[in-house]
Amino acid sequence: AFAQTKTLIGASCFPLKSPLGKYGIVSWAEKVEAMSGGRLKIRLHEPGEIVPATEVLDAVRKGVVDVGMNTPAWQKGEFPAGDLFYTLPGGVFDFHDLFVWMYSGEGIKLQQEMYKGAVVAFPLGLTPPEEIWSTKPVKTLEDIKGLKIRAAGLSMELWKALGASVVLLPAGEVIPALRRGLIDAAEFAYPSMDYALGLHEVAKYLFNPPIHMGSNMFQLLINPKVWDGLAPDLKEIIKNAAIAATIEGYCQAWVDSMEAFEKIKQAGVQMTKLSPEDQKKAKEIAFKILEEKAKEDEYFKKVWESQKRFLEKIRPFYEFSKFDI
Amino acid sequence: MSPEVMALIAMILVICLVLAGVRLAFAFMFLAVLFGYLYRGPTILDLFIQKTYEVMQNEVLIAVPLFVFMGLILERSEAAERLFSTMFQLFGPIRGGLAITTIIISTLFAACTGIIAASVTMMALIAFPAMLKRKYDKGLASGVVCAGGTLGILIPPSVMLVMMGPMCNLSVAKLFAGAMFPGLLLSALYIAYILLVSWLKPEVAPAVSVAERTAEKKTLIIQTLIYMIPVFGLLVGVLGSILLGMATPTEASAVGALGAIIIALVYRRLTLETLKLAVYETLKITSMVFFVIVGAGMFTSVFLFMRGGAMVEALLMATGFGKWGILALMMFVVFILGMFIDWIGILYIVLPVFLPVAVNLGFDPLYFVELIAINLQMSFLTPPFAYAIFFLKGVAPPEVKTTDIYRGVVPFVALQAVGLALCIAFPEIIMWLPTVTLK
Amino acid sequence: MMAFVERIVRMLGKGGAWLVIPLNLVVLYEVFIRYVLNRPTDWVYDTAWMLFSALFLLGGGWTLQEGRHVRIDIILNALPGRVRLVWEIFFYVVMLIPIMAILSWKGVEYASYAWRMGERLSTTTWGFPSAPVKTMIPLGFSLVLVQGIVELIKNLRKLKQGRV
Ligand code: NA
Ligand code: NA
Repeated sequence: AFAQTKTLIGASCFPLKSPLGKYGIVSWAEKVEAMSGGRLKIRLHEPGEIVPATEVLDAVRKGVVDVGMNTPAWQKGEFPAGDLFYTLPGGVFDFHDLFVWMYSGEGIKLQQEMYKGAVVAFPLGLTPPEEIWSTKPVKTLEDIKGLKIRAAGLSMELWKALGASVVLLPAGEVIPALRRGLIDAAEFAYPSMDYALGLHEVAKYLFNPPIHMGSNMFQLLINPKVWDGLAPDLKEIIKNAAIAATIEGYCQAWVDSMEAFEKIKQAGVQMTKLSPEDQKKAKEIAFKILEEKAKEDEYFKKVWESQKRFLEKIRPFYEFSKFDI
Repeated sequence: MSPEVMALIAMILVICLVLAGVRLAFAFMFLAVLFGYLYRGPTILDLFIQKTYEVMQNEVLIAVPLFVFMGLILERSEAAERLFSTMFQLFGPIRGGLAITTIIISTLFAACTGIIAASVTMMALIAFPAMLKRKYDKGLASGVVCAGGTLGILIPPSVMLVMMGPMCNLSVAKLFAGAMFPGLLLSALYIAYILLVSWLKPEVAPAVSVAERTAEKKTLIIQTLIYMIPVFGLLVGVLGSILLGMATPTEASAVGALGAIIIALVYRRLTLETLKLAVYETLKITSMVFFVIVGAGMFTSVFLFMRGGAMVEALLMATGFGKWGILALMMFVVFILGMFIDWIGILYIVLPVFLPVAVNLGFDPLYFVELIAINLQMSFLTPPFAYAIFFLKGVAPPEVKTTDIYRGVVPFVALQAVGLALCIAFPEIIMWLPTVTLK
Repeated sequence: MMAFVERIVRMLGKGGAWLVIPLNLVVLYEVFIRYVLNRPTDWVYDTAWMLFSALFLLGGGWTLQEGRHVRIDIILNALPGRVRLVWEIFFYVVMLIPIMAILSWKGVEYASYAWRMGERLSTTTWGFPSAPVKTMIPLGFSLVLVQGIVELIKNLRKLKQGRV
């Protein structure tokens, strides 16, 4: 058939120029256009420009826009299990686990099933591990007690369980709030993003491993009517462009972060790591939180069970193969 | 029809409808639904509910009703009356003294309230009759009250800056810090002007006879200080806690409202009736403001959906004016719109379109947004649509003609333009305080 | 009938107005518990924005009744009364009433979905049901709608009686 040009309108939950947008939906859109030889064009809009950042799912579902990049954790009131496709606290899933579970295991299938056909969903965008900034040294879990921390998602429960108080703050208020002592700590993003924002100027301590979350995974959402109207080859292109964009973006974000990490060190930021015992404790607490959540929501339970099964399968060989030094 | 042309028509229509007396909120909503439907079809309608829900969830905006409430309680607390009555005895015997007192008290109250309705009405009720009684020129007295009262929305806390924060993705605390010195600069310019005029033309701002003093000068100084305490307490509590980082603007607004209630209680001015009036008035102002915010949000979305933003940017770039030329052009557009359109309307029509252009041209968003805020000071005074003049007219005695007021505000509009030009030329006036206190 | 509708609109508006007091109190409570007891809560955050939403949505109708939605009537005031009246009727018939009807209807859809799904708030870990606050959306718009119909009828009567 004669190749027609079709333009899809897209919304993003992240600014298009930020690494999350650039290595996510922007890169995906460029690939789709290139791979389809221009038959499919994507017109992207900034968060809030048309659709509010937190309403991307609803906008795609209702057809306000055709496609969108979304964070599933932002609709936990409607889809409590969404958090599990985004990131898990306490190192339960590290930055490698989530990725493998998503693509090889049941992740993609379960994510799609969660939306019951309201939207077509694929993973899009994966971040390097995050880090936690603080204005006071944090060497043990004890030091977390009484800390006022800015957090989001499932990690809020973990911080609470560790005795910290969780403060909700919009992204724009994090730096002034740290500077002014309104909060003592903040989870924000990974080194290159944090450095660009200047977190090292307001918080002199950094601690890890990221007990609040591993890598974050985001998603590409497509309106089902739009999806059904696409030629089979274009559907393949959309799907594969998302995989390509995710892997490329993930690697690029690592490259950026390696440089940024060096600069953060040079800026005199003190870095500490929690001891293996503390890590274990945090992980146990996180496990308990996930078990509790699973009791509240059936679908959460189903996804969590899948993730537990996956861990049982992957861990033996993973532990066996990893260097202990 | 190309979407860009539709966007242009929508923009022209919104200005036409507003000028034709259509209530702002509903002009925005009507055009959003109409053009959204024409461009995207029925699926667009869900967007408008999502936009409404977004405004509802905006924690930063909670400061708006609380600052309004605080301002209204403070207005009825008699704090301004008491301060004025002692200060005018102190400074009255100086040429232009009453006008200067008015500006000083306006500045102090500007740092306590966030709305101009409260501050202009306060000064119009207290300072205006006092000046007229002492044979001040009606025009000068009007200009002083209008310009001084208008400072309330520039000097933080300010409802306008609270609304600008989430729109521009800027920290409200930073916006507050940035507006501090421009506000004080305007206040200083007003005082300098009054001194100059009363020196050149003593008859417009005569010195009050010392005989009007009811107490010793020393007693008056002490009294003035005593009456300043509650105002200063509120100022330090609200502004200090935001600028020094002890509280978010929303929290500070709640503390401020409590402070205003305490002042009213101490002065025995808090009755159930006062509270009821303040509560009802807060609701009406809040609903008015938020229906505009919601409507403007809908309209802006549709406008940007039709790529109106890119169109305006292309139009501005096509002028070939260069960075500073385009800035001047944008400032001029805001000034002209300010004559005819309410500040909330300007904020929501202009800012989403101009800000990205300014950022692309290399201007710091904080700097640019503050320039708009300073520019909007003029809109309160420029006829035909001028809030400050309306509020003053609403309480002024009948012998004060609208033409007196118009004549009186002209020099103050010029002073505001000078202040704006100074802030453009010396960005430090805006940027210094946010840099040292908040980064 | 019209007086009855106006009374309802006014009562809900006045009722909504008093929400500023609990709003102020919960935010103060948060200040106290965060700074004095060093223990921030999440329910305050959600409660605060829900109270504030209810406040301005409930007040929209009453604000219309009181003629307080901001407008610029300088040009309008220079026109003959009859023209003004016809323009006002045009505004209600073409702009306000249909738009408020659409937004009310869409708002009902939005809120009823939340009721059916038992959806909860996504903003914090508190997890309070989202349906009540989402119901404020159609309620707020329909209060403006019914008040708009009342205003229209009033204006039509004026036109008929030639009272301009
Ligand atoms: Na102020
Ligand atoms: Na004006």
